[in-house]
Amino acid sequence: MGRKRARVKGDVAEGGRSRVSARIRAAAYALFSQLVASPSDAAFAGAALPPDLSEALEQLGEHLPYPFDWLPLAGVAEALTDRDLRRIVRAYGVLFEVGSDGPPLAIREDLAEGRPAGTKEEIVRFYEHFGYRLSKDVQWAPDHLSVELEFLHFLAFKECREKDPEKAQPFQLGQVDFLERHPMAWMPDLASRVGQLAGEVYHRRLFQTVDAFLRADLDWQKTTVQRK
Amino acid sequence: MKRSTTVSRRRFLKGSGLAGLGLMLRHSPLSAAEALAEEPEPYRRFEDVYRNKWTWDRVARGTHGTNCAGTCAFNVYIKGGVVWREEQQAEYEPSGDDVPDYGPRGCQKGLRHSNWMYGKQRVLYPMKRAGERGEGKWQRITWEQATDEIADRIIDYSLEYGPDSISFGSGTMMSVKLASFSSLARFANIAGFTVPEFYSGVGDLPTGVYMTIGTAYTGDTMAAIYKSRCVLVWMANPAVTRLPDAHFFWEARYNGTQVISISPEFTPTAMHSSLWVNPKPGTDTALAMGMIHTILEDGTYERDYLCEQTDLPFLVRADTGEFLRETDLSFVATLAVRDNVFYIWDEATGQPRRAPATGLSDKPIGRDRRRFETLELGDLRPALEGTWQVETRGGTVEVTTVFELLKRKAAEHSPERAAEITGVHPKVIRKVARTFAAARPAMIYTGYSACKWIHGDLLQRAMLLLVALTGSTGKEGGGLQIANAPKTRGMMAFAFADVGPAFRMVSSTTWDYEHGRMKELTEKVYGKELAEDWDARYQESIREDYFPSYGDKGWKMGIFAGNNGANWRASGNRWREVGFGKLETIVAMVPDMGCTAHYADYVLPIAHHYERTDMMLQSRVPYVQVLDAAVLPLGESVDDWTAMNRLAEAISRRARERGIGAIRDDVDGRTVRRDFRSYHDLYTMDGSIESARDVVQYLINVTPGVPKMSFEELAAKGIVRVDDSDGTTWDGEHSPYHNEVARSVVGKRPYETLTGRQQYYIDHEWFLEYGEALPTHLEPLAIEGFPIRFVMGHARHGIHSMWRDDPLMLALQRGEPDIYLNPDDAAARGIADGDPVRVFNPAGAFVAMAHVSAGIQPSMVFMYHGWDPMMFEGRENFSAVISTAGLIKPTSMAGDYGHLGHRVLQFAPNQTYRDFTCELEKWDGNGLA
Ligand code: SF4
Repeated sequence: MGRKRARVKGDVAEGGRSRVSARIRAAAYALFSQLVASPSDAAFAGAALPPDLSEALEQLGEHLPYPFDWLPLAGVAEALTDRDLRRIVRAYGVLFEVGSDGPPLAIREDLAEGRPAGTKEEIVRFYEHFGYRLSKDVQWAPDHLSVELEFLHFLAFKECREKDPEKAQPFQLGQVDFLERHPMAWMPDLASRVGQLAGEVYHRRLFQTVDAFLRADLDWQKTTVQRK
Repeated sequence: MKRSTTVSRRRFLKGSGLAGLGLMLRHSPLSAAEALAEEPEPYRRFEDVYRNKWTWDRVARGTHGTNCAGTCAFNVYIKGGVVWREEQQAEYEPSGDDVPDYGPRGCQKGLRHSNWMYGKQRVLYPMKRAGERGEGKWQRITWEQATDEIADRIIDYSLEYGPDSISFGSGTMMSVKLASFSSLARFANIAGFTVPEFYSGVGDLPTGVYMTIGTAYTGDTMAAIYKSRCVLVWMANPAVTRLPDAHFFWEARYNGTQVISISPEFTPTAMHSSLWVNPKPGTDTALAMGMIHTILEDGTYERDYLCEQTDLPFLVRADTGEFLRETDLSFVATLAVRDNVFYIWDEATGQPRRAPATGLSDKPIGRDRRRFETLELGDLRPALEGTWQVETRGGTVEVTTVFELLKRKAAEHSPERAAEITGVHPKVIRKVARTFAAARPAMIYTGYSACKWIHGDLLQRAMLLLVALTGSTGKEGGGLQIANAPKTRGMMAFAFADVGPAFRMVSSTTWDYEHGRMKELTEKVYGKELAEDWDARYQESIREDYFPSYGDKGWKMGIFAGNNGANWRASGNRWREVGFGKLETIVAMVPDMGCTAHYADYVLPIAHHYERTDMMLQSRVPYVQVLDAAVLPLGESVDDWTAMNRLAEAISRRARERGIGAIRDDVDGRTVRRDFRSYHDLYTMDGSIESARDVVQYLINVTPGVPKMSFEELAAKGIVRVDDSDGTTWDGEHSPYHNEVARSVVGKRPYETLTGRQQYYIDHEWFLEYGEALPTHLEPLAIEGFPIRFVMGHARHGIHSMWRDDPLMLALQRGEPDIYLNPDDAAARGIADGDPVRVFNPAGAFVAMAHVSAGIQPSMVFMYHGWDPMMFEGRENFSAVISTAGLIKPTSMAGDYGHLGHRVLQFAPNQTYRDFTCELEKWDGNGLA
């Protein structure tokens, strides 16, 4: 694992917005969406498996257009055994899915403390506006962190596939607004609560890393997109 | 979230080789081509997402299938698989020319449900206990693991201890829906589980009504209230507990009906009534007897009605206090054991004459056995008053009438005497009695509260007597209104199909008594004398086979389906220790977390009201109401039919895998063969029932009174008027509800009581011995040194524990459980409004916020029920101080007397939730002890 952040060609290296930067960021969102999804669901089982996760994080660290500290999570992922993975599945359930007073932490924005009425409606309006649709079995949870991050992946993907910068701009603005108004409105608190409550290091590092990524991404996006 | 796509990690990395990353959607069905085909909508800032018109994908019909008894028709609005809001479906047709309409119906809980169903209290995945019981440590598991492990335990317990070692409690939280209830009942029947009967278990069985008229089910539609001229709203608070129907009272009042509220505390119902009468808690029967005294003294009773419909003209021997029977008069009758032929004094002939329609089978197995007799008096002119000498086999005996005895009993309860007991001024008692007696028809509207007092049966008997004196029972707008219930034929047809009745239903009160060391509790709280005396009667009842004994075998496993028993069981943690805690395996099947699930070993996620296909019948409202699954069940929750289907499948599969064959099971002397391998085939009727929708269709087809149509037709309408519901009473043969009272009053058929009459005199030796042969006031029980009487009632902001923890509902109250107390009591104890208060007595203690209110009498506290223990300090709610769990009143265990004796869902001892006192103090924050 190299620690040096690689520079790639073109405008990314200069810190600007391009289809390449969108592609890399889309990859990051896809990865983090998977990592914060329930590992009890077959499609997400083993998302934390080494060495793939470490490699993916390393690649992101190299190619994202802003500094991104991928090492703490990669370090944990690198050392994971099969037993740890089973523990991670259980730990995720304990944090977010089961509990006598409901799960200790909300993995759905609408249940996070302090979120205003109408939160879920706005999320769904965003999805509808940009043509993102949910599979039937997950429709009940449009505000799940994993779904919100997948939506950002979807927008970044659309941005990267749009050759006309004019046409790409709605996707860019959509990412900034959605990220700021939704994941970033509750992720910092969630990450800090996971830091307090998680019994194992993997989830602490994961949520810190996702939080750090979202912060960095939002800051970068704000400097690289212009509202007309 | 269940996923259908299975993209592996490696594929992700390959795809994300950054140069060639594609669209990687796991939560969306969109392909890359579909995603790219979408033209971007104009977007400049977030406000743009609000510019599109919000449209609905579908509007489904639904309701909230809990036992709020509302069954209000709702439109449920769905977009993107989410329920966003609900709205009252206002399409009720006019009820008739002379009564108000039923719609629109609803309450704040129902209008909140679309929000609450997504709340954090939802159980979304199967859970297995991961720590000590009640420690709150859980592990998410798969349905397969859950059902396999539960199936193995069911098989193991059934093999080792018999299927009756497994208790299967289906509660009212979710399972009052017909398909749901029928599915659970079918499963329990196939498996041979023991089903605790919770009607009496929650203290709701109107035993006094049963004693008097031979059925516990007496109640008409809500519109009947409008036809009454005077309604006593007694031990009920419809402005709080029956929000969709309370308008009938106020409309009736506007129409000239006197609506008189009787309750110790100033209730929201009292606020709107013509008059509020506030007896001290537990003295209601004295008030009723004071009113009866007035009516008898005034002579304003309906003589002809009493002579025909009641036992008041029946002759009673002065020497023994027993009815004059044919066995007293004829030796032949003693040989034929004709001890149920009774006599009246015929004024026309000056002779004792046999009362019509007596001498019938004294075990009322079916009403048909009485259909050939009539109550009509013909030429007879029964005397109500007088004493006479009658020649019996044992010599000359003085006889009199029940009416005469009643006059003497009433004389003990003159309004002046009643005033001393109740605190209500004699003038008020007379005024209410006269208003009531002058009203034709007159009605008493009551709830289940009376059933929860140890002597509530006497109050119900007195209430029935009051309405009988006015001749109002069985008339539109009259009678005692508690509750009717659907005829069970439809549901039982489904539950028993291909199997026959093969489960056991037990009285949960007596089961608890035997297994929960309840005599000890009574002794500790109420003293040895009472405990010994009542226990002796209990044992006698068991010995004489009046009631079955459950003492020889404990339960090993408990399945709680929509049943939050750990919330409401009297004695709180004690019950959890001595009853609940003894179970080796506890399974909770619930949509929401609560105390019962908290103490369970497995929790299975169950679909909520808008996530299932079902229908509801509720006797106050003449409509069948549909639940047309608006959205898919959240998370991995499923409806009850599906949950049981999975469990049945697992049992059959595990039995085959383990090579386990059939067992023989003895059910009440019958041998039933139970083959675990066939449970699934039986449950699904060999595959012909595939879903809850099929169950509903089955029920529509076989349930009396439900118009025959396809489920889809029903779902399109939402509500359909039930058969035979033109009037306001359930008097038709084809209605879905019980019509026994109308058959007696209108059709003149005998009642299913020993005397064939509304029976106010019970000459069973225990009733005579305890002075309860006639309705009478008996002092409520109190605990020495604890002067504050504790009274409870149903809440406005929740239906039992459901919706109790909803943030909006909490915001409409104090935000946490509160207890109402009188300002003088509060001041005397240095308690200020809002202070935490420790409530305690010898049974236990709990803490709640003081709600100081002048609407509460001195020396009493009032608390709305339903607050879950999970919301309290030390997980102890009000149940902790309910010291009455071991009180089983002797007369409630009487038998071998016509209609008296154990009869499931009709006659069994109630669990007592009142009749205790307590003390309070400002809580110092240091534990409960
Ligand atoms: S909870 Fe009951 S009373 Fe309230 S709206 Fe729903 S069905 Fe009606």
